Amino acid sequence: MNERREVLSTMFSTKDSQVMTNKGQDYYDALWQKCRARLDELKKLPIASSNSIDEVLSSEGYTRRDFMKWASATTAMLMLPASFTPLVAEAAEVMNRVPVIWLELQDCAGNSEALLRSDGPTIDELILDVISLEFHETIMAAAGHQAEKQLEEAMEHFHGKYLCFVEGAIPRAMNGQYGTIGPKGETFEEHLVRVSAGAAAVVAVGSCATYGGIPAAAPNPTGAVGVMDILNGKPIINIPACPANPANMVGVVIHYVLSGQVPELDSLLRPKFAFGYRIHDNCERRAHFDAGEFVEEWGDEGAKNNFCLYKMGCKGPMTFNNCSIVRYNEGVNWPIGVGRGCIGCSEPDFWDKYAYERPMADAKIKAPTGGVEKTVDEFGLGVLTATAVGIGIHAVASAVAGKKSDNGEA
Amino acid sequence: MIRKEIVERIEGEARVDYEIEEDKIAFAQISFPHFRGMERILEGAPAHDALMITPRICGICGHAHLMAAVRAIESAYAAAGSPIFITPKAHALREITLYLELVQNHIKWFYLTVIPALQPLCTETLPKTSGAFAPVALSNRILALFAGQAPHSAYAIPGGVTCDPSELEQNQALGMLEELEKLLVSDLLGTNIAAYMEIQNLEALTALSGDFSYIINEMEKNGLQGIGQSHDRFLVLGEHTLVSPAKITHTTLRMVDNDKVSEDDTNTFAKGGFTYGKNALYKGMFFETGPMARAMARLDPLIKNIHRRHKDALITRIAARVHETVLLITEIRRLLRSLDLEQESFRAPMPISRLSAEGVGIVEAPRGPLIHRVKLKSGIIERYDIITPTQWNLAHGTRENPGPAQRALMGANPHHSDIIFRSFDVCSVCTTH
Repeated sequence: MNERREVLSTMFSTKDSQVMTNKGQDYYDALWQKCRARLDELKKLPIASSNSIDEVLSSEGYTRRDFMKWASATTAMLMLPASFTPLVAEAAEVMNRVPVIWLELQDCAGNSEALLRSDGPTIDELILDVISLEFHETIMAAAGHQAEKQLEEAMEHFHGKYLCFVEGAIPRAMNGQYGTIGPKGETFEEHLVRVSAGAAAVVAVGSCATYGGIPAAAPNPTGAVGVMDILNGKPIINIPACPANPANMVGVVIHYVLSGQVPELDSLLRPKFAFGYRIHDNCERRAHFDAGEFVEEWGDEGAKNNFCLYKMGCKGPMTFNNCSIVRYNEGVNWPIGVGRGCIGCSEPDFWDKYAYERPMADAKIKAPTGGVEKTVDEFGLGVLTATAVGIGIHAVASAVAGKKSDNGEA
Repeated sequence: MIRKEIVERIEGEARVDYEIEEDKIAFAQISFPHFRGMERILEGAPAHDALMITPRICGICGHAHLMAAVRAIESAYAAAGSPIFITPKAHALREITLYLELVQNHIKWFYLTVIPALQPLCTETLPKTSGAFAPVALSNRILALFAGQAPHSAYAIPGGVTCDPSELEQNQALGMLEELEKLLVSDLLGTNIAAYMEIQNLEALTALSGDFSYIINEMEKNGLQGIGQSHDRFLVLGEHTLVSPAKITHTTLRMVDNDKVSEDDTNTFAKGGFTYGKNALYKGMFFETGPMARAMARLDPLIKNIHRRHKDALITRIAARVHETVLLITEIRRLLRSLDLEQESFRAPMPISRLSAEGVGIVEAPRGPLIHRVKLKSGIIERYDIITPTQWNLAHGTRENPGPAQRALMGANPHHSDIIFRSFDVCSVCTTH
């Protein structure tokens, strides 16, 4: 498993090592035309879900103006120029043409919570409502053989077109008997392989589906692994974090609808628009770090004055995620906002290495350069890379995720 | 004739095999086919890792796990002769965030679990499930103000809490709570909180106009009020501002002794059985836990009135949980107002590396008592043991001595199986952990 990640890492770190936020006018003009054509083509397809975004938004009291504000924020999040805003809005409107099958494996249901609009109803979550959720084990009404039949029908009818969202790890020890599903007692691994076979792309949601997560914590009693450790020949997009941020799930779907492609990914197959920067880069307490003002002990004067939590073991400097910008629960707050350091929940092995309150020196995190300050400022540049994976609307790309490494699009 | 019916994927990951005899449920085998091994993961980890790992056992009631973990470590400090005294402010903040998690669980369960399961049995169209979303989001937002995020926060630490709210957060929270209250008044209750609090019997409750009384009325109209009776034995183990530990048999209240709690793993795969779920027992007996148990322990007039007529039936179980939501909101407001912001958020205890002792942390989670037991050696976890509410409610017994949910199902019309089972609100990810 680790060897495979090494291979991926090498494959992804060949070319440029930065997030390109401006790729030039010609590039964006060409991309705009491509997205336009893609949307026109999608509009001709039959509607898979009966929910329309207009109805859903107005029933929750949102206006067209709110919606356009959301569209322009999402355009920025996807690192696209403002001229793409109307296209992003249109993409949200035709999102009900993209069928989604959602699998829940070895998990805590924490990411489905986002789908249940437990943090909403924000526009992000309402938009998740509009996706045509053809199958979700927890949310749907059917059970048993009836559910199994629904799943098979959805897989056949939308073959090669659906996005397969996966929540939870896959336990491999004891022949997979730590997690079985359905009337036939299929193991999670068999289930995942079967359902993902006909998917256009697989989206791993949360750190469990991405890396194995908490169940994979030492000694990994159930042999838990992530989706990318199992699937071959299938485009995979990872949206780690515990829990994953709904804004990033929507970003991935919108990007797919808009361009028909997987967004630009890093070596861990995470979309760069969300995981291209470190928590530390945009942290509200960053100025205190620069000024050398730290919390030295819980509850001290520094804690009362919202000083930097680096010395309390905050892993913000080594963690790639956008929660310092997007935050949680409708942007109300995030862990650092309540004086509690980042635990690096979007990074591999966070459960063993990064965990709570362990100072950096004891965390066994390999820093690329010596010295704390250098580590803090330079860590991770090496893993930032560019790639692009194309997937047709109807065709299934069969390359290993990320193998194609032309210059990427957004 | 015995007909076996299988219902999997209830709440994701539980499975019930019903045995039907002469159109009645004769027995139900309840099993949990998933396992993660959380207790083993915690062995050998630094004690504070429990604050990060245990909330991630569950995406729905993870905050209760955080509170149980922090109480367990603090109790180990006390056992080691170095007790921790957290400030009233820190204590109140912990209670506030825990209660908010209870509130959002209760509302979600009522709208997203109970209503869809009742609909096929009712003649009228029931309220829309979307009634859950706005109040749930508001509860989570208030929680996040103090705890940073929902789910999976770890803001409570032995010695207090990491947040240090100012008047700004206090007022923001009170404002959002008022919004939440307004939603409940207009949709769920159909009357203002003060008037609701006056209600002491079923008649007065059914006379209201909100979703709550609508459901109660529909249950009565369709003859569902008496179904789902169980042992009529209840247990509360967590100590909180709203409730204290008690054991209730019918209506007799007794003190409890935590040492009498035991786990039984006879049905697990490890012992050649069919499930990963262990049974939780008190003095070797099955007890129902959760909001109905807490209402009985609190001697709540309204719930006692319903209990007098219908015992521990479906109607009492549903009413107790919705009713508790209102009490929680009132209590959260009282606690928020009483916060003395000048007090410390945190008092540093002795370094955890010097702590070698055993501790137990018990909280009342949405579905009942959640117990964490920890054994520490020089700040490292030697043993960690978790007992969750669903291990009580969905315990698997025998035909002669069935678990609470089994007992409620036995003898019932097979058409009622779904609502009876779901009224216990399975939390399967917690059960096997």
